[in-house]
Amino acid sequence: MRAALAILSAILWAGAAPAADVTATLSPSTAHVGDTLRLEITATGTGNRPVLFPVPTDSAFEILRVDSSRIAQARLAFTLALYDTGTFTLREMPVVVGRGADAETLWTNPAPVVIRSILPDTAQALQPIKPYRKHPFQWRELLAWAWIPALALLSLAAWWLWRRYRKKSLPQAAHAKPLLPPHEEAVRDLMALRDKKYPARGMLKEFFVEYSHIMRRYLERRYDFPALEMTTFDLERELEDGNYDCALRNRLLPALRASDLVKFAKFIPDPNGCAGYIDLGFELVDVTKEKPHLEAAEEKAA
Amino acid sequence: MDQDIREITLRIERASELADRILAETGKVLFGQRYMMERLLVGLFADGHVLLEGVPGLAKTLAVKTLAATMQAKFQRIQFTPDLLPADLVGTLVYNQRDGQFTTRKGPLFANFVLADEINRAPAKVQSALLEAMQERQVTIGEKTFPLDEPFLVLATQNPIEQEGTYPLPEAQVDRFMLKVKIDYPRRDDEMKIMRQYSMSDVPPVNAVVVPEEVLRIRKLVEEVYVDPKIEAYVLDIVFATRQPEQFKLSDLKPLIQYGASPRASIYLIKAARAHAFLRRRGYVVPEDIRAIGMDVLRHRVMVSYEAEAEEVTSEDVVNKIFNTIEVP
Repeated sequence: MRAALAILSAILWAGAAPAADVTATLSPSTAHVGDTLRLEITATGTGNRPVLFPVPTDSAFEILRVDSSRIAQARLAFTLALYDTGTFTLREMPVVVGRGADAETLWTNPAPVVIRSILPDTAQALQPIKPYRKHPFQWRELLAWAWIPALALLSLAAWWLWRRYRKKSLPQAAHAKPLLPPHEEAVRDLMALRDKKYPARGMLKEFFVEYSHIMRRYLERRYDFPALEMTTFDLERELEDGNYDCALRNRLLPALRASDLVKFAKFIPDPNGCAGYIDLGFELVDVTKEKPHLEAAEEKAA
Repeated sequence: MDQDIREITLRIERASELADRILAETGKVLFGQRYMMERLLVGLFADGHVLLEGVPGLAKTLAVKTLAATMQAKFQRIQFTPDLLPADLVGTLVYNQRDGQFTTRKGPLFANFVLADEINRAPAKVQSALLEAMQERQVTIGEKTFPLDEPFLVLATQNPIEQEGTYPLPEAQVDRFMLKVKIDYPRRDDEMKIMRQYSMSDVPPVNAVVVPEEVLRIRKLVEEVYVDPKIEAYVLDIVFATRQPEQFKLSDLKPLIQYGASPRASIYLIKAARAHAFLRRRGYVVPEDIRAIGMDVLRHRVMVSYEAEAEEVTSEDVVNKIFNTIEVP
């Protein structure tokens, strides 16, 4: 009886017009987060009727690409991706077959998919830490630091040159005449001044300028105070306050004051008196010159 | 001595009696401030304004007031305050309602002696008004320019402490003062006299012993004081040593000096040295005059650098070093 009914149905089905159908296939059915999924919506039995495919609107699915092709039957393919884990189902979507009053809306089947996370597999044993990788020695790396020894060598060379130059210049310095003792220098300069015969030539100002310079230089070198940078007034205070021979105070200061008059006030002294200033200079230098220790001790004892 | 110089010296000896009169009068009320009084006289006779700097109570104001009192001249004292205006110094135009005209009201600058007390307490615009009058010797009110009386001398005081809320004078303006005199405390015996004198109620009066014409006559005489070319060269050496110390064996000063002394320093050194020689009754300048007056002329004209300030080197140290290094002619 059952077999008879089946055969009857088959005959009736074969005699009827083919009915349209749509299917949705999502593959693979199991994937990892971010893997691409392929969705194919296929319409069959549509004949020559136009098919309007839907676009998946489920927010969990992200459409990466749309591929459309029509070969033997109407088919539309999408490339999708999912970025959450769990079980998702692409809901039924309407497919419109035909146009106008003949239009027919068919619904796709729901398409499930399982998305898994990509967590590392901790079940496996940890790998041992790798040893440091040995970097092979390269001469090129050494070149980057070559400037340090080069600089050191250059410095050494400069120092050596400087030493050599200094050594060469030292003998020259040794040839320079040593300074005469203050009194000898003063006597030499006073004699030179006398030989210039300034007064006879009417050059009294020049005479007194040089005379005061000689005497100040003698004081500066003999007593080690800056007499050349002192005014006569400063010298007066220095000679009065310090422990100096009274001859300097009583006899040199008037001579220096007279020199100031000639130098700065157009004072014209008696030219014949200039020799007296020279003699005074010799005398003061002789009285105040530094004596050898033995002579000074004898003088003190006497 | 040259006949001209001998004659000048004789005239100076006669004229310096006037300086003695002034010093005698001021000596009635001032003790132990001879240095300051001499510098004020140098400013008076060399026609240069003087800035006195010292801590309070050193008789700066009293010295100026006393000096002015010794002369039959118009004296004005202006207390510089932060709210002072230029018009308070130079004067202003006032509208006369009766005749509908603007009339000029002259300010206190129209005097022979102006004491600008605590000059650094007034704002820059007031200082500028004063310093302009000092330089130009004239004042413009509205559209009219008025020449100032002769002699015209500004004696300003300032306090080196309590700098908060003050307006320090810019270098360009301090340069207008011929001398910047620093006042120090009096010696013990002088302070004893001060204590005794001012603890009594009756302070002796100061009499006017000089007239402005005499001051002008002395100024002319001071201008005749002989300055030898050697002295001029010495002055130039000193001034140039503040600008190019390395050329005078003073290389160590080079990083310490920001700006050297201006040509005004050379002019004022010579003028002040002439007046100093006059006070010493000489008709010629000697290096001692330059040395004596040099610090007061140069201390505010040599600007020390940041490095010097960091090393606590003052302009006075620099000037001293220069004087102790430059050979005296």
